[in-house]
Amino acid sequence: MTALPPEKLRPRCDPSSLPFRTTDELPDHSDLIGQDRALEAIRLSAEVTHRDFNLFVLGPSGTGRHAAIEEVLKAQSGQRPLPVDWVYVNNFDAPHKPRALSLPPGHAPRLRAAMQDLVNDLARDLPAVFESDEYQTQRRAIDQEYAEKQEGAMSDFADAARAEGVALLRTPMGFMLTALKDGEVLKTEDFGKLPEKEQDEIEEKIARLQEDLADVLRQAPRLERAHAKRIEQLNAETAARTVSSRIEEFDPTLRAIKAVSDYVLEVEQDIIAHADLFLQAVAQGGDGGFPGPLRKFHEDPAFDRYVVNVMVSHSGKDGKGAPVETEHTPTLDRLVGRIEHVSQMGSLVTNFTMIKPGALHRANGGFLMLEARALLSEPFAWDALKQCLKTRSINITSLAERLSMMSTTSLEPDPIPLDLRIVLIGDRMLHALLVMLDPDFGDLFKIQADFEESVPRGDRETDALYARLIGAYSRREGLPAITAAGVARIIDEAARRAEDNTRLSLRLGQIGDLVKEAAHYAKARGAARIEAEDIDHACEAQDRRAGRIKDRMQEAIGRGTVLIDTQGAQIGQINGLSVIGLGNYSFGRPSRITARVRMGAGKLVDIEREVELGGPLHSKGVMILSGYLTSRYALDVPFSLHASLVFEQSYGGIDGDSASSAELYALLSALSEAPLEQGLAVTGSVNQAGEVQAIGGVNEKIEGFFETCRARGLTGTQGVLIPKANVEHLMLNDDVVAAAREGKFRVIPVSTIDEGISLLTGIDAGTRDGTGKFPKGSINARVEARLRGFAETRRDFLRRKTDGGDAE
Amino acid sequence: MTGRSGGLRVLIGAESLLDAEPAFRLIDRLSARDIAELGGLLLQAAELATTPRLARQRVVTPAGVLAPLPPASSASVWLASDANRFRTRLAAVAGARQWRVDVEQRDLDHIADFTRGWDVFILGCRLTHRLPGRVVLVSGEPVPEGETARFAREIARSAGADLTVLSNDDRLPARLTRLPMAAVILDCATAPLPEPSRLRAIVDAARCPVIVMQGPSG
Repeated sequence: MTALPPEKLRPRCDPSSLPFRTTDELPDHSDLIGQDRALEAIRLSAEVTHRDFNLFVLGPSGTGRHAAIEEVLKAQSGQRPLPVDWVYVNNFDAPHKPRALSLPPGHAPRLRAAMQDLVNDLARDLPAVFESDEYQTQRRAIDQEYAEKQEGAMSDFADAARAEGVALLRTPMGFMLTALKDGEVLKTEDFGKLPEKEQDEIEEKIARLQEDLADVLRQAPRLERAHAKRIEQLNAETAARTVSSRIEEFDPTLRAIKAVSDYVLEVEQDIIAHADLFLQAVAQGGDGGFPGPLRKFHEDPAFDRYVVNVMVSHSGKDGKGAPVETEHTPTLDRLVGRIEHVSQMGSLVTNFTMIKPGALHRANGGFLMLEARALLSEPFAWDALKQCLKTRSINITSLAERLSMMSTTSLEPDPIPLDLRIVLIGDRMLHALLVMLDPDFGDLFKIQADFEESVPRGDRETDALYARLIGAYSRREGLPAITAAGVARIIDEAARRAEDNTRLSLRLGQIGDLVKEAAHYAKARGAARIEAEDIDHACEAQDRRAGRIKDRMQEAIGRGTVLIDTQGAQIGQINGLSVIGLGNYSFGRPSRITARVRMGAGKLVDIEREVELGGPLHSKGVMILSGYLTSRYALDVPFSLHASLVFEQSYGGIDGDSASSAELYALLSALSEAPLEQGLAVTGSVNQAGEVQAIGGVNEKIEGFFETCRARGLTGTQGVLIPKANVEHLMLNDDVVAAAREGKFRVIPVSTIDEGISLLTGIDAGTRDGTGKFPKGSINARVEARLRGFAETRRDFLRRKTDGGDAE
Repeated sequence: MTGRSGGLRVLIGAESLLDAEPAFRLIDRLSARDIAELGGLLLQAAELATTPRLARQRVVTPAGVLAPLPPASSASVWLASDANRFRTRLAAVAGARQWRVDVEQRDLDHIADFTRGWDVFILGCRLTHRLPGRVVLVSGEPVPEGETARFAREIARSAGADLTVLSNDDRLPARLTRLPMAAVILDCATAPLPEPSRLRAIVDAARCPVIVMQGPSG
């Protein structure tokens, strides 16, 4: 196999193939590319009117999900009618159950203002009416009528008593009747001198008159009640005339709305019944504020019962424009709204004016975008959202109520009907977990929009579209124009970040950050445009900033702390390659893998697994090696190998099977006793048929070994064996490409273990001939012979043991 | 009258706390500035103790209930108890103002002995109902002016009642007896105090507190 030519190591975008000199010449193009599938899903969710076609947008961050969703939703919302307004008003019959009224768009503030005017006007009109001479005259007439009835009765009684010679005495306990004689109260001794008959007559009179007086006095409460009713009636009639007259002037447009009309009728009755509220407020509120006509009586808490609490109101041209809302902190309260309380005399109280809207109220009739992770992190927010979607109504229930921790009075507002589209934005893991663990999720979120992470780079058109996207981005962000060479360099970087030279990364957030940093360097050197060198500078700077650990690891190899050979040949020892990921940054490094073999009972020991440092994928890879060996060599004898494999100087966990081919080469070397070239490193997984399979992070792995070799001096024999399937993932850095061009470093694709072992040992692997034997001296022949030898040794050993046992 | 510059000196006289209560309520409604000192005079007339006790005789309570007469032997106990409650109530109404209470075993015939030195003397009388009534100013002048008229207007305002002016003639008791009233104010600033029998007739006819405004000589 031959090394790859330099142009295969980093297929470049040719600036001359781009049809512009700078991005200034490009038209605006903010449409996403390569996200057709996701956009179709978003559009479907936005357009379908059936319930529960809510959307889960999944994919990595920085792929333009938010912008794309907003753009589609805003376009769709512009065609939708404005949703209705919602207000809460007092329920005069049951104040703890505030009533929700729906109004045509934009009418809620108008109703609120109309009610404020009504209260202000009546707070001025009603006291004036009750202070008027007309009312006072009527009232006094009633007072006099009833008072005269009682006074007349008392007066009549006093006259009658006096006429019968009986005096009315006032005692601390009440009235007492006693006899008069010549206008004076008769004393006990004088009374005793009277004839018995006269005494009896006096006693009879007093007894009778006592009853009469008791009747007169008992009549007083009845008269008082009748009087109070008459006054109440007069007040109601007086208030009714004023209130009705004012209500007739109430905004006719609003009164044409049935719900408002009904509400206003209730308000009218309530104001008539509570006219004293208006009189008291005026009497108490004499100090401060504007006097008379300018005073805002509606701000007085006494008139809270007539407040219109606007939950949501919409306005827009031509009656179009459904809301598109985003809630970045989707707590339970901010989502479904809340009922606030105030402390009064040590207890918490509330009323319907303290109901506050949530994101669901604001987005009702339109779209609400939420971050899935944030939503799921908030206690009860997800449950509350599901409940609202299921019941198609917004029920405001606080966290304290849900936890049954609320003992104070609270409200049960009318649920507000809910009709909106929820757009949840999250990653694929969250989506998978919700699908698996929440049985409601599939019912409520019927559509998923899966954003691609990269786009195929099939032709020049894709590069040109990508260039327009970058140009639009730099204009939107106020960055300098980018030259064609600069754009080409960005496209190359996008391919590298996609880990595929046939695709471009759609993580536009990362690419955008790169362009911004390059713009900074361009500005620093006084350039008007962003050139390729600025992009290079930014890439290098990013790499340098993140590369401290990589540098320390390379330093450890250079100083011999970590043992890696890059020259010579060794039996059973090979340079494997691994990738270390640190968030958005990853790098490769070589690791020494060694294998040791001897006769045994067919056991392949993976030391990493034995000490629980190897992950399941790594263990799987090692077990595949066992399968490869047992199925390929010495099939006619028992598999009598005992082998051990280890990643030397590895003290952390290892997972993945990308080193399985390297481990197999080390085993074959140990078995065949053929030394392996240490200037070559190996990556790739292997299957039981001996085919080398693609792995991830190929660029970082090659660059990691290249760094190690360069630090020790490139010899021209050094290089990396990679799976052939990884060739199209190569986007190596310029240093590797330059070394390859100069013949100092090689990247060699292999497709089978036989190819690889031949390259590593310089000895033909060998294939079985017509008799089923490998060519003499070939690697495979030597491996088979060794394994057969182990089997025979084992057989001899067992025989000796058996014989010895018999002898005993 | 005396002491007007620092507020009035007001004496409340009554035959029981029940009679004094409407007078206390009137005072309560007046501005604190109007009154400098408050006096109480409980007139415990001997006639209650000397009237004959009849088997079918009862006390008629203000609520119209017929209650048995307290035994004559205990009359002194409940009179003393009433005096105590009168004193407590007056102290509460007086608040931070100066106050004093006198209990006299005499009746209205000796009124002049008690009222000397006071600007205003209110003779309490229980109301037989809670229906609103007017304030009547009894004056020798058809259009009263001066301190008494001002005081009468203040009483009417505080009671939320109309003020009616009547002349002080022989027909006054007959006119008062059928009139619903909150208080009667007698302007005695320029005239001598009425005879006790006349005063008793006015109180019996009015069935409400009678306020006697005295002249400087008191």
